[in-house]
Amino acid sequence: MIQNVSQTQSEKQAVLSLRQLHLSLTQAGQEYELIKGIDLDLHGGEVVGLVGESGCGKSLTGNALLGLLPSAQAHVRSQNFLLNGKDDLRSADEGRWRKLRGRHLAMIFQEPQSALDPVFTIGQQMLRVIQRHSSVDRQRARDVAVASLADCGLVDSQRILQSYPHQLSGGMRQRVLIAMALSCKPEVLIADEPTSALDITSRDQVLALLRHAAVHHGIAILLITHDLAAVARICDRVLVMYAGRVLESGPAVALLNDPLHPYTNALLQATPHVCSSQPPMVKPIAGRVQALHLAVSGCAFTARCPRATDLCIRQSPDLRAGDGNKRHVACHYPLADFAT
Amino acid sequence: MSSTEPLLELRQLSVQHAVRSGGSTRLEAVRELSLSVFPGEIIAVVGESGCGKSSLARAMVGLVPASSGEIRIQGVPVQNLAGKARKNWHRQTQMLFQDPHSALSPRRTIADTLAEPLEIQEKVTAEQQKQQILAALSEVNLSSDILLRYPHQLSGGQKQRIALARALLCKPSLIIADEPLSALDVSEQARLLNLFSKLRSDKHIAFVLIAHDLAAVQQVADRVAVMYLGQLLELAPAARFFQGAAHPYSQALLKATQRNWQPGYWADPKEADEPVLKGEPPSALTPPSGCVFHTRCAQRLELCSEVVPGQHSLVQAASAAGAHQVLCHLYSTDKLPLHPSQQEKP
Amino acid sequence: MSTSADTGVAEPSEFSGQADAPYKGHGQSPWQQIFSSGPGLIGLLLILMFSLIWVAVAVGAIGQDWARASGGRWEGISREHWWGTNVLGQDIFQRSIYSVKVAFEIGMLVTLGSGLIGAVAGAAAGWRKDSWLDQSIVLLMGIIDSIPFYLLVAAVAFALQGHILAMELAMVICFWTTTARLVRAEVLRLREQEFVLSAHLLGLPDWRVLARHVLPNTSHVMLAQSAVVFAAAIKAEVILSFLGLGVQNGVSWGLMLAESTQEVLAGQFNNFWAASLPLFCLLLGFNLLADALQSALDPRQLPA
Repeated sequence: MIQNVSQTQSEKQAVLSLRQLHLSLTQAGQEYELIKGIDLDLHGGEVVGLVGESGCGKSLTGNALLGLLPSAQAHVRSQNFLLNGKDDLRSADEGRWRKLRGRHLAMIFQEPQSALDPVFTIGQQMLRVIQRHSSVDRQRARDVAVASLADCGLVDSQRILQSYPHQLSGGMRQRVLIAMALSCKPEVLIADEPTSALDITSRDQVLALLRHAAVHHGIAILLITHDLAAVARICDRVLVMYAGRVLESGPAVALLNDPLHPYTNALLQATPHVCSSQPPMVKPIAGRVQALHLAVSGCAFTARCPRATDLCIRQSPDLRAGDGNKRHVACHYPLADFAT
Repeated sequence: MSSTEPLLELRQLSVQHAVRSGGSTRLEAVRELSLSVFPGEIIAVVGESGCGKSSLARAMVGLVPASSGEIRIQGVPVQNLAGKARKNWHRQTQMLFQDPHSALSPRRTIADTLAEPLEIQEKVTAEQQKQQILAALSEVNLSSDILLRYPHQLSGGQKQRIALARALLCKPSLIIADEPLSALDVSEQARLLNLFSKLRSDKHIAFVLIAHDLAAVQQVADRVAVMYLGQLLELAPAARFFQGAAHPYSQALLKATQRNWQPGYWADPKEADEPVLKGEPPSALTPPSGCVFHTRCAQRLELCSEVVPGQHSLVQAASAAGAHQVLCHLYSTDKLPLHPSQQEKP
Repeated sequence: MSTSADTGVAEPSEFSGQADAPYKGHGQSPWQQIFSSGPGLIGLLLILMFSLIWVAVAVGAIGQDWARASGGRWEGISREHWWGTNVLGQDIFQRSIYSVKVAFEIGMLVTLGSGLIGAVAGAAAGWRKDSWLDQSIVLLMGIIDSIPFYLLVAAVAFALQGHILAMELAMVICFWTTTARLVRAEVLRLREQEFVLSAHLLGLPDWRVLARHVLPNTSHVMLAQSAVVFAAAIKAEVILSFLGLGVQNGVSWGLMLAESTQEVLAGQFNNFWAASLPLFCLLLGFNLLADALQSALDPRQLPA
């Protein structure tokens, strides 16, 4: 059932399509390649998870999708970067990005406190955003704001509109930000660690809301997180990132239950799950994260990988497709054979 | 674990903070909370932010004063501790904080930081000092080349483990860990959980682990305490808690953690756009009447908004460590009418 | 008890040796950072140059002939008088050089005095926030700061007239408040930091926590503020001397500027330039150095 849905989705046109994203940063006269070729397709109504430990380049990727990196130091290049299959964003300048952000591409961040201006009420900030992207009068904009808040489960909308950010809890602020982002009906929402600063019940509420936005409003959502439980909770597809590369991608359920890449497996074994009986003890991944800016000749995970051989040090594995083109893995020795 | 004498005992402990907001000026962060910590056990305190778990942790080590009630260390009320005994309390009860980045002094090398607890203890020679520091480092799986570094050169997980090594150098019998996991990556979380578990069995150190992630808690906890608005809603042995939490709030927390996980298998996201609990916890400045949780409770009875529920024991345990207590009208034996969900309970 | 204890994975000690550039620091000591930043280096060189002049004057090698009328009135620039002479026939270059020593002495005294008082008062107030001590210090700072600066300096200098350090004392009284405020704010921030709480929990005595964990972390504020106060003292001296409340029985850039007001009207600019140019260079040096110190000594910028 789920497979059918994703099949039709892959045939459908991607809302945002990206091929071979490279990103390098110049610092002190030296150029460091941080993102080393990423392919990404976001479809309407689908939640895609971008998973990895801190320092793997997942937030950089998210920022690059919105043109948020300082063009003086960061050089973003890609073979293909299309919005709605026709708008080429590769050459977009700051003015163009500013028009796209909010209206077509929206983003929410980890720390909801810093994303809201403390001296204006929620209402003032929401109306400003709505009126900037659509030419409606104040009353109409207010209706849109109220509807958007109600849609996000914030029923006490009058009080919220009159509140200042510090008067709301962290979970509420995050939901207000989502409501604000959704009020302009964007095609794509990028959520960068939206739940890591939140409690378990607020986290549950925010994740439910993101799923709701994808299913009921057809928005394409990219969930950037290090939390595999959050991925399992709402994502249709997952990309696992490490040291600026995608190591594995595929449908969430298949990837989480039968990981192909040793890194995905290691992440899963480090993540605790609640069971009714005593679960197996989590296993930390040996060593530490490969620094993003250091160039490696072979597979970046070699130093921490239990299956690594000489081949892995010498040669970087390509991302191979398999299982009816649904799953991809970049590993010389994947954990299971899969038909290519 | 099952020693009868608790290491630390809280009796009807309340902690208040002065705040200026509206008319009310006192915020009751912890309300008449009783809890015992036994040697060598890991007791997890779970709850949302603002439920008072950090205030509780700070009261346990004496960083904030109790406004009423009592803290007893091995049977002696802390206000009666003086001189050497008081120093001993501080040495024996160490604390780990949430933010590893501010846990270490930025201008001091790791060696300086680790030497500090030894300097103020009984006289030790430089050689003994070095041996103890190296031993503590290997205890937390770090090598000695880290000693000459400064905190900002380390990752969050390494800093948290250095903070743990510093605590270990005090030879504590109890470590209070206030959200030690939430700023760390999964792999570092796993490493720290393994360390806690190892220190409990090897050194018989007790932990109060303050956390909000039940999945991490289940890895190591012997007992689970659920806090909401300054009160202890449920206290149970971990095995009992994860098989069937009794309080509706605990049940919601559990469901939020495990909803997509069937043993050994990640399930498809189903009904994923409905949260397990709606709304926000009420402000601790104006706690609801009756049961503090009644405003969000799906199994609310009529009397919940008026009558404060009493503590009910669900199991006749031989020791205090085995007790399962819940603060909820659903488990009252003399209150009528019975709620249908009560029949399902074991 | 739970069964998880024995399943802990044995893993080798982890090595931390991995270069983390370019994200953290630049692998440089504070001094290296100042040397490699253009403005910081210029500031440092300027200060070094003036320090050399100061030492030379202090040991009597140069600038001793500032009081003698060695030439005629308002002589121009010549081999004998490098910057001409003033109305009394005194050598302006000698006077300007000697003023470097006067300026440095004032700057040092005021910086040390106000820095010490400011640090002690600020640390005490911050450490014991909301105590009577803190409240009195804050109140006192409020009173001092609410009086226009030059008015207060002038009033104190006037009241202490005749005292040999009247002007310096007046400046210390005015200047310590800024340092105290900065130190207090920093101490307030630091004392809630978890490493300070941890130090308390280790059982360290209060004074030791303050001396070892709190005050060292305020040093970047103190040092940068010292450079600012040093410059401010020299500036204030000029104004006070100009008003007749400054240097008595001597010479200073302020006195020279006061002299030059009449001369400028008469078309004589030597005195004016000889006082203001070195003053400008010295102040520029301090400001550049203060900025460089501020960023180089920030604890997060320690060598990586």
